[in-house]
Amino acid sequence: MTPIFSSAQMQRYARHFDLAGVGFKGQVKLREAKMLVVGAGGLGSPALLYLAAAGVGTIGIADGDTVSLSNLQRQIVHDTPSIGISKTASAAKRLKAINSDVRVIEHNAYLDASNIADVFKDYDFIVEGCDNFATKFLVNDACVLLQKPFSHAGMLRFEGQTFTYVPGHRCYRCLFRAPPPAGSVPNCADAGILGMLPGVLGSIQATEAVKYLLGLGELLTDRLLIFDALAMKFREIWGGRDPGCPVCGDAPTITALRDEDSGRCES
Amino acid sequence: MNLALNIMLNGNATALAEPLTLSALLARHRLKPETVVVEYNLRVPSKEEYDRIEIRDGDRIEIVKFMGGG
Repeated sequence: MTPIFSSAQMQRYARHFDLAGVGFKGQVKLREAKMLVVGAGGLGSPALLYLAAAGVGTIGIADGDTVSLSNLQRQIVHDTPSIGISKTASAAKRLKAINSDVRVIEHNAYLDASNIADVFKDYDFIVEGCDNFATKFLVNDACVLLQKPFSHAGMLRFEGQTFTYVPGHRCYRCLFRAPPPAGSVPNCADAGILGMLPGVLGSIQATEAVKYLLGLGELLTDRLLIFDALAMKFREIWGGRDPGCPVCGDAPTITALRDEDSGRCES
Repeated sequence: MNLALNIMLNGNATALAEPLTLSALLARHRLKPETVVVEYNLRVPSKEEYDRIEIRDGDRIEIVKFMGGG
């Protein structure tokens, strides 16, 4: 009988095998999992690195951008030699170097209403690390309509927020009904962003993804975690699904995917 | 007679010296309404309601910023 894990893999994942709650069965689940990270940028970088290191069997990367110099201050999956190449190729190269067990699927395209359902359909969990409101809302709507769990995160200057959507629970629109008017929320290129901030949030997102998969602990469902790096404090805002929510409520007005028109927070 | 309104604002016990609408509260904190959402006693009022909702003693208010970066 072929061993399920090679001796090299037994060593690689030793700390998971020895961890109550993960173990052999958990590592098998990780290998069978398919996770998609939308945005190989600030948030996506640590999420991708940790999911690959953990041995998630299939990792999809969705991003239509190329690596630029100003990305390298915080987008730690990329490096200087990768400037100018597609973010998906750059990230894929790094992930495979960390862990060749991982099957990496590159979706080298921007997501919009016309392609998102097709990209999402085969994945078990989505990590949203988009840099603009339009796509954040689109990812939310797609996950609600397709009944896919996902981790949302957003950041600005020294603060960030994250929560986990599981069907039936609070979604992004329950609290944030629609994108803010274009230009009203400072653009990351104008406002700046502390480089380490996505490291904290993206790692939390990867943690939630693995916890969801393995059924561990308490997820950030119905709970928005807000992080203030300057005060080094977290606070939580609790709130469940809103029956009046336009997409996940009792009488939804959003029943099909559409592209929101909103300002981009340029990464 | 103690006229202060005692509320929970962003998780902190806060005293207001006088009644305020949600709009006035945001203005006091120099926040433009379009850049935030407000959760008022676990409900998410529409922006149109901010002028009409007068904060009362015991209210629990969370002001959450829109954050679009990733």
